[in-house]
Amino acid sequence: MIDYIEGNAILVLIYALVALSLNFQLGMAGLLNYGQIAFFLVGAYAAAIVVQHTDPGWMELLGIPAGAALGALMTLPVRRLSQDYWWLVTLGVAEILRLFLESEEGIANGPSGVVGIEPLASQGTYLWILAGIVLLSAIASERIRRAPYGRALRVLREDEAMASALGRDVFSLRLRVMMLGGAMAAGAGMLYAHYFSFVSPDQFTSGETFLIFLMILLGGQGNTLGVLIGVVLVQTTSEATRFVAQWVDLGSDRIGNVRLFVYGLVLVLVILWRPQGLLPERKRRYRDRRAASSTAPSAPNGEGALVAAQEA
Amino acid sequence: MRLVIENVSKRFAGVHALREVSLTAGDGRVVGIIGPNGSGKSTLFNVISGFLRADDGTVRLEDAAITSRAPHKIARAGLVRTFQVPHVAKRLTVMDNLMFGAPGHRNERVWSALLGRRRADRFEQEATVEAFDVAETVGLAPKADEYAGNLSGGQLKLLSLGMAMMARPQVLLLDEPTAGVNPSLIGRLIDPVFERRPVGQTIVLIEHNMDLITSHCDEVYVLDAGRVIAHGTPDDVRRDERVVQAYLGYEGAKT
Repeated sequence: MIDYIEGNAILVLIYALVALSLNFQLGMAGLLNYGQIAFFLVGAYAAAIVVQHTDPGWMELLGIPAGAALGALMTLPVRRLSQDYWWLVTLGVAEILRLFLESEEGIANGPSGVVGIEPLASQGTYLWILAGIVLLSAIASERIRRAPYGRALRVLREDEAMASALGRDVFSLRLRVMMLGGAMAAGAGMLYAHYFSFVSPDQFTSGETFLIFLMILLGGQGNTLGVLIGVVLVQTTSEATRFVAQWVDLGSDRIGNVRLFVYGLVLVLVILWRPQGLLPERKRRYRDRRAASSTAPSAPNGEGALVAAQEA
Repeated sequence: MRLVIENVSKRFAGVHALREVSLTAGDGRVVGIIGPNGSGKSTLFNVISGFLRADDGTVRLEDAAITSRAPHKIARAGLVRTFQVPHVAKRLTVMDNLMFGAPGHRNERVWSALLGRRRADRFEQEATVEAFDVAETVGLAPKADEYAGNLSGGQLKLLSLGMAMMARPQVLLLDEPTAGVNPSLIGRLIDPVFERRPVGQTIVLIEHNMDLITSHCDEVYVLDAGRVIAHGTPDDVRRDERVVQAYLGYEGAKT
């Protein structure tokens, strides 16, 4: 039982990484990336291919820059198109990549996939390592949210023309957020491959991207804690339906369909009734320190008087 | 910094929106552009700021040719424009918007967000102080933490002007800043721009309000059907026969 709970916690943490990586694009920059799973796939296959060819183990780390490169590549075709085409291109890239690996037997055994990817640590230790990585990622995404970069991404989401009229290179900002999201999701894919020890194309369908979307939209776009809550909610309910399947006499494939139906319904209801998600994006409040600097010129810390821009 | 426009033309599917327009603005002067609706004023701004490509002619900023360059490059070269319909980020606060107006693109990097950079932090601190000042100047201080989407139409105009003030460009293009505003409030809208105007800033102003043109502009260009039909001081232009004809129509002018 402990094993089972640990295993689920590990999956929650891996999904959390992917959701946080998509949140930069979807929640902050407003980019509808329906192909996020492709980055995850790149990372997982980097691990799988290295196992196959018994190259030195660290080589699989190349999956992370490969994820970033794929992010950059996805940005190119939409360079001159509006944001509305983003989902089409990203979905297309993800599906092409998956189908390519499925039909090309030479790279990673095609549809049968790769087995025997070795775990990096015992399950208990791995859980703590992952928890640490997720914590660091959450801190990183909070820092980005509060930084000028995060603000620029959110402005981009609202009004591109204004951003470029004020000297912002819209393409470069998007390129960098795609590379960031790509690298992070590829890292998550690697960690996933080492946990699951088996990688095959059908683990990376667009349905997975849909689940991550649901996590973010339910939890709250642009809110780090909200996204994490969304991940826990969706992943645990998804797991819980297995028990439901045992109680009611339904086949497991049919339960899977019912689950998808319910998730779709939840998604529609969230968009209709609570578009901002359970935890809405937090307002950044700036602290006005002007009075302090003018009325207290003899303050012990002269520079400190100018410190501003703090979260309320 | 001088903005020099030479023989700029722009066609839309056979319609000549601009025909060989030449215009010079610089040396900290305030240059007005007037003309009937559809005379090409906004098209001219779009061409200057890189939002539309010129079919012909050149736009120079000091010695640099900026003709049809990307809008963000033109902005970084020192020319910032506002839009007739205010463009603001609605799901961000008034302060966020003002802060974004500051020319901080160099600080908007993933690495400085993650690791912190002293120069970026200092820029941010100084911009915060300035943003609060600007918020006060345009009268939005009580709304500093309000989402821009909750502002009224007039307040949106004030905010977009405030963002342009934060950018402190050497050449500022204002596209009908007072359109649709109650005449008694026009001063409240336009005065802050001049109050916080950096030394040497050149302003190009599209306007319909002749009183505003007369009181603020050093010189005026008049556009009609995509052509410059008159240029001079506001008083010269007012008396110009062609200008009266363009505004009132040829029949009306004869009688």
